[in-house]
Amino acid sequence: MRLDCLRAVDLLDRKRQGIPQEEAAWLEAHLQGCARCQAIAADQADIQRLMDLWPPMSADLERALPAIRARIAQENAGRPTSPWMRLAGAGIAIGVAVGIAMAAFWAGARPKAFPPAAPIEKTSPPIARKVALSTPAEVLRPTTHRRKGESRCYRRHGTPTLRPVVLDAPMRSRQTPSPPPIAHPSAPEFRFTARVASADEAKELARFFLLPPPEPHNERAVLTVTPADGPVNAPELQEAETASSERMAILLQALGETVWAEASEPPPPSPAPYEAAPASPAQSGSVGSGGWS
Amino acid sequence: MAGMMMARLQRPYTFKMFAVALKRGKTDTVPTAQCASASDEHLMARVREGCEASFDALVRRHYGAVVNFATRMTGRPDLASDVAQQVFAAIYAQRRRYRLGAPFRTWLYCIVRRECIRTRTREKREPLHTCDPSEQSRTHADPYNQAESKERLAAVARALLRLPERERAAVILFHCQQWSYAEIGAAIGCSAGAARTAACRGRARLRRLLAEYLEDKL
Repeated sequence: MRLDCLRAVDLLDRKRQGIPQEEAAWLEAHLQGCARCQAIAADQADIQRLMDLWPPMSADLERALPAIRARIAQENAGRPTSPWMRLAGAGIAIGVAVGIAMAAFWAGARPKAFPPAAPIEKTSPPIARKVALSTPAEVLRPTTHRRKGESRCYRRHGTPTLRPVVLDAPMRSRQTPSPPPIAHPSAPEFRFTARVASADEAKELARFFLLPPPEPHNERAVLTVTPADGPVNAPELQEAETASSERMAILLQALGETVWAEASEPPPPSPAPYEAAPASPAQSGSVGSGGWS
Repeated sequence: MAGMMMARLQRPYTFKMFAVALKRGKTDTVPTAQCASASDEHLMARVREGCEASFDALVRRHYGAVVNFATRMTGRPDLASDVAQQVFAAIYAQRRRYRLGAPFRTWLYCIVRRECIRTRTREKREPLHTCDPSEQSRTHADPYNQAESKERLAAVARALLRLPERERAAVILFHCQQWSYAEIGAAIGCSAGAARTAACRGRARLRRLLAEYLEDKL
């Protein structure tokens, strides 16, 4: 398209708004000699003729004005008249929303119902460090004896045994937990329950018990840690297992200053059908501040 | 003295005069003669201050054109007056949003276009009879010519409704309202070049849709 054609198209667009006489004459002269611009002009004229087929509607202003006023009055009646009213409404709505959000937040942050724990002396340093600084403790080693007529019997050992607590062993991370201790299926299971001050202490305690079992064993000891301020988030740290009740007792004795634990005996195995079932007195004890009882 | 008064009354109402009236708090009592001579922008500035006479003058000036534009945009003459009334009611309700000095006509048609789109969406039905040519078309003595004219008119209305909304608005504003492309661009929210492109595309589509009527040379 030449520059003349561009000018001609521009003039064609502006022709209906009115163009000077000289430009109109130039446009006519250009259209005589340019077939392309003639086609554009004819196209515009055709569409203009089509649009002119639709005559303008007659607007009834006498009826329109009252109708518009009625609509304005209707809209004014339907909405608050002052912008301050709207602002106040928005403020109230925002306040209510914020109040609901705060109430929901505080309801969610409140600690759930938890059984009251025994009074615990809070310790500021972590448990592992405190244990590491303590000297190997004298512990009472629970041993197993068979009495006549009983399948198993647990009693306190007469002489305290000095057993060092392995504290320098590297702690295993959560991602690589220690393999479960190998125990015979019929090995008795000792259950210990420890109550600690906080969930962090519970985690620290459970991590401390994830040490590799020192020697083959013939019993299991499971420690259930119960923090006073709520459950531990990681379920795998809520229960710790050691190779033997003896080892558990050693560790709990070492932690005696901070951990209050209870040990419960396993139920006696069911007697053979041909053997009379003797009465097996249940024994339970506490390790730590209370010691075995 | 009387001559001076007459000259003062016949003088076009300028923005400076409006500012003086605004200072005196007399914008509600603008004479009708001044309303007739004032520009749209000045009238709208008075409407912003709550002058009902200026609003009536604006309605009288633009109501017919708005109804025609809405008729072509919606294809429903029965809805066009409703759209126009709704538009003017909305203008009065939103008069504080009008920016002083901005071209009123493009602002008005921007609102009209939006209201037409909203109406079309709300109706969700194609017009069976896009218009009643018997009331609007030129009277023909010959019944055959009258029927042919009705048919052409209905075809034009149908073809317009098949255009995309922006192209339809550009074609209608260019060919029916005789607007420039710059004004069309301001009304439909684009540049003048984009408005020209939209109008050209709309014309090409209309030409394809109405080829049989164009071959007859109308």
